[in-house]
Amino acid sequence: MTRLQDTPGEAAFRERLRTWLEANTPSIGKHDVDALKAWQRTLHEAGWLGLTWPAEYGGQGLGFREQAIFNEEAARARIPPGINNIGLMIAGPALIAVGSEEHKKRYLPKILSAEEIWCQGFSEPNAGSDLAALQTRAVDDGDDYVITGQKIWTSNSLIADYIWLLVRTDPDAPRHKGITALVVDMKSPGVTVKPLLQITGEAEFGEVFFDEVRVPKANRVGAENDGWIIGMKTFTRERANISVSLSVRLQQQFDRLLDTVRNRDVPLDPQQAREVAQAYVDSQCLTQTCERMADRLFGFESSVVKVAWAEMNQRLQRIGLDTLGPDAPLLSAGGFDQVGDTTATFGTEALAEDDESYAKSWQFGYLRARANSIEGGTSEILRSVIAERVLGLPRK
Amino acid sequence: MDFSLNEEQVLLRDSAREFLGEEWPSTELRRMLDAADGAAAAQALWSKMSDLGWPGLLVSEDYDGLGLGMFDLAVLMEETGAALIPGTLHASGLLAVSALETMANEDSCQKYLPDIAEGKLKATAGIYEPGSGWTPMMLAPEAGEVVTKRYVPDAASADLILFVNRTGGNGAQIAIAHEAQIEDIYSMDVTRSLSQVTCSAGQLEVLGEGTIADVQAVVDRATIGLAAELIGGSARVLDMTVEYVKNRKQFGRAVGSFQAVQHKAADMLIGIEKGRTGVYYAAAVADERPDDLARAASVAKATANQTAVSVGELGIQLHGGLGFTWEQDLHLYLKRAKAAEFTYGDTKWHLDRIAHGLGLS
Repeated sequence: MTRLQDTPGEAAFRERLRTWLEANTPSIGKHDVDALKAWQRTLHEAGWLGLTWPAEYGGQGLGFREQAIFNEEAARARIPPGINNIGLMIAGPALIAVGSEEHKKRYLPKILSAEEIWCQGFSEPNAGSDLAALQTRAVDDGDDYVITGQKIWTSNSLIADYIWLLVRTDPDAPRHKGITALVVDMKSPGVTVKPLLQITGEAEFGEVFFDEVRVPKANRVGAENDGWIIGMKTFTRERANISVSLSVRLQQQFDRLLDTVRNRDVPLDPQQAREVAQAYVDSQCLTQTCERMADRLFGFESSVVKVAWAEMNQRLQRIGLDTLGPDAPLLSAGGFDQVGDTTATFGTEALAEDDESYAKSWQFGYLRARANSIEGGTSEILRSVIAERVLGLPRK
Repeated sequence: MDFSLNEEQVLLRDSAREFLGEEWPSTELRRMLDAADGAAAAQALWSKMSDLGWPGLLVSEDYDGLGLGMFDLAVLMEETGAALIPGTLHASGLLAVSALETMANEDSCQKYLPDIAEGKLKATAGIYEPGSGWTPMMLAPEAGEVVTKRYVPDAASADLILFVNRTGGNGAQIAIAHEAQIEDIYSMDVTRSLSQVTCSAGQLEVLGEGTIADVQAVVDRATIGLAAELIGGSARVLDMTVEYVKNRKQFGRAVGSFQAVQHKAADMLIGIEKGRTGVYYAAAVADERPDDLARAASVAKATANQTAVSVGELGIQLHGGLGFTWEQDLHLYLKRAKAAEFTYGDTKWHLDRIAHGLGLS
């Protein structure tokens, strides 16, 4: 048996994909929404998206191994950023797990083709780590719910067509038992989105306000007041999908670090060289841990990988910046607009081609990576998840 | 990449865990350490491990071994590391076997490996010399000279002591050290014997020739085995710790329900999972892609060093005062970890080797 090489089937898949990517990969800036949508449609039509999704909804019915190969080859080919990652990595997999047949047929194909962009409305100003405290209210009104409230940290909300939403349907029930999951059209009257400026100066996230928004009950996913379980299932799929793609992005970040280090005029001192070697050790082990644990990542063990990845990426970004010495704080014209974003938890799979200014990209990475240990579950919450759900320690 | 254990490996792991749980519980380990008949306890374990074929796990079937690979051995050594067995299996079944198979001539392999595989002959190998550091670049022995090997594992109970020497340039030889003088070195790891061995050059019986690169490959394989033992030990420390903090109550609740305790336990698990990956990857590389062995072994050892020491320290911390007592086994794991950290290259040495390989120094 061979452990290090692809099986013949995997090798053929990789070869076919690599050839296709070499012939078809365009160069698109991260803010060119229309071109990015068109690129996703091209990928989908060629059969490279929804690899693990069932064929009847436009997927390919393959396994995680093929998804991992896709991630590796996509990174290698530096494909443009994904425009619908929340749809592909969170909402879609959640619908596959808990959605009705009608919902799956209606929404999944258009997630794949990027005809409809999705965002996820879970967090609220007063419900972050403590998600069960969410207050956005859905009032029963005949065939509709009427929704009022606010969501925050909503990635992609500025361009989204649909939001995967958790609302409170029963304010009198125990807090985990009065929550319901809905699919809401972002063009519904009463929905407004405000950009949320981040420490990088970008607005990747938005705040979404609901002012008596009418949503047909047909848009409910699962039973009324069953939303908490659905939310938890969403999370496990979210973290599993994150983990599968993390490994590749970590590898890219390390390669970028090597590139930076080798382009310096001054050689590294022994201490710096050791720090880079240590980063190699940790990113290798973590990358391969994602592969080793792939079949366990739908459970709580995905938190192991997420916590380790967040801290690893933050360290890589810091080392990259520190390595530049006095050039580190210099910022060339244009801010971070052209800097590729592989540092976000839902970041794109490719670096932008603009490698002219290392300082600029490491500054962006350093700042953006501060969110890694907050988004998708803070490292504090996830360490408690590991302790209680994986190791079986008692809860308070 | 495929990290999954196959059916035989699952069986090997489970049967080893069960066997060691019965044959080498803490009470037996303590008997070896404390009792007058301590050596008898270790010998009894060795006989039973030999019946299972463990000393010959790596030995090829041509020499009556099981002919298995480093991945299989890593799976086994996680269990032997968890049980803190003495060093004979590592010294004979891994270090000496690898040295002989890599460097000894056919006649010598025929002569010694079957008995080693059977456990009848306990072998070890001396590589490092005083002042050689962690790079095995030894001096060529000349007639009349006395050769000294330092940090030789398990020499005191060995039937066959091998010396691996540099013969000039990049050449190396493997030889039996006859009439060797063995002097105990007292290691922090009280569960394993370590010696300084001297032998006059005239008493060396050369069994084969090779290169310094061969010697390093032998050490790299032993390094991966040691890393597997460290990760197995770390996993056992975490099991003990989880059990303890679940049951120990303060302020009217289990201490394991306090976040400060929970987060340390989570960090222990994160380190172990990363470390286990490093070991499995390096073992697969040793079996399938020997050209990459050096870097993979360094990754495995650097990670295992860091995980084992940190888990050992945290295990004691989370056991509170009890963790600091002699009677609790935790200190034995920390001492094993700390001593192993400085065996076959400390963390800095391995990081420097990786940095050099990446063209950073």
